[in-house]
Amino acid sequence: MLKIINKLFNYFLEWYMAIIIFLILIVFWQLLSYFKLIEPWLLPSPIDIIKELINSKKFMFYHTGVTAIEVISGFSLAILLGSIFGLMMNLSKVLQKSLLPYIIASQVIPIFALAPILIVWFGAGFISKIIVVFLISFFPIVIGVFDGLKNYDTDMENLLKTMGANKIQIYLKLRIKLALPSLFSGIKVSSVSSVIGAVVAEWIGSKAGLGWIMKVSGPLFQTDRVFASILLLSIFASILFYVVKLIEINLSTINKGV
Amino acid sequence: MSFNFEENKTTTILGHSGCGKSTLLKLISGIIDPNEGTITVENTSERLGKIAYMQQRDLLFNWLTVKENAILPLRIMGTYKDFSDSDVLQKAKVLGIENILDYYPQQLSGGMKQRVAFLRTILQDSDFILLDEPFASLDAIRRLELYNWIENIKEKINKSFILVTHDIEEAIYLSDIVIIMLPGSNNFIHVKNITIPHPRKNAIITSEKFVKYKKQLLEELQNVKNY
Repeated sequence: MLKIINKLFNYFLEWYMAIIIFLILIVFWQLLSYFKLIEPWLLPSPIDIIKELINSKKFMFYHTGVTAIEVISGFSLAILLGSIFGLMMNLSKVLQKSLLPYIIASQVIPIFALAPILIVWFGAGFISKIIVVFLISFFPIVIGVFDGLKNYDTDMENLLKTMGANKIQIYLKLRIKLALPSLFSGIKVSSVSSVIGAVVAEWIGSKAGLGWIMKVSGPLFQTDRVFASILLLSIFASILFYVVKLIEINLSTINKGV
Repeated sequence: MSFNFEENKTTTILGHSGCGKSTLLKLISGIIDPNEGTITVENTSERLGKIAYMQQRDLLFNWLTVKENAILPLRIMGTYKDFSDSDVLQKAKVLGIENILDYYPQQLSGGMKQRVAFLRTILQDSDFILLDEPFASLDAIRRLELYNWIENIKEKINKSFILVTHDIEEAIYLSDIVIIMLPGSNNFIHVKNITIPHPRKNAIITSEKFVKYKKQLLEELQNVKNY
């Protein structure tokens, strides 16, 4: 029991500044609308936002679910294909030379220009959203894998060779392990930008999702709803980020047992 | 040059830094191939996977536990299932590391890591073992301990060791045959047999015979310098 209290206290010591800043901002924000310094339709108070969240919780959570599915599908696809492409570019110089320019070029196209076309092609449903999420999160992952696989230790590879290891075993036992930190940097960057991708795509053309809520609620002056969506979106993005971080810690090649 | 390494003996290649000792081991192990001539093991020049090679760095994978590191060669060869854990434990015991099998390398001291690397090397199913100055990074007392452990384990396994070092005491302590390698040349000179019986204990380094060998080898090495 004492241990748990001690641990909580240590957490508090680490985080207390963040908590205090958060509380000050919230109180200040609440006071602004309490004294009617800012109209609620321009900036709803924190309590209004929470109220809106509770009143229309079914509606909000449904649309959060839609966005979450889009993000997770596109993001998973990006991790899968990003790893495969990164590995292929590492294995073959020809593939590297022929793929890399197109992968870079695909990043230069503004997603705002591409999304409407994708919606025309694939409709306003899930598929166009998944493609946008994929396109936005693919690049950091493929570069993360590609750069990570460049890390190698000649002595360790020689050691495996003297044990009779073939090329596949050298990749499985060593090179992929050495590539993990770089891969996870890419995945972490993507985990956040994939959420932005989904919202942008929903904004441009959709019938559901948090991006759609923001788009339709703004002009109706339902700012409390817009802010509630932003809140849910940041919570979802944070969870996604920390899940990735947790997996990274578990697979980590450094600091094991320390 | 032509040389045959004898079975079940420890042969030490002694030479100045930079005379190509490590390169020779790389050649023997099969990591690199010779420009001219041939190196054969068991009548074939296919050497990778047949010779265990302990390099200067311990090269432990820090994402694997000590035990996983030690059995890595068995995993690679796919022979782990034929191998019993008690065998691993028994050899770990001889090296004094049976209690740290579940630790990660970064939790260990330098001497412990070298012993783990040595365990991994002898667990590899090969008749020849190459040691490239494996104890150069350790202090004198740790080294003496390790020599002792190596002597103990050599009693238990039937393997041929080829050791590379520039440390004369290490060469005498561990080997049956000492070869001096000439810098910048293609020749070995002076093959010397060390006839102290095994297993040798730390006390031998002050014995009369040991000191005599040391004097002779030192003279040889100084002569080499004047070549």
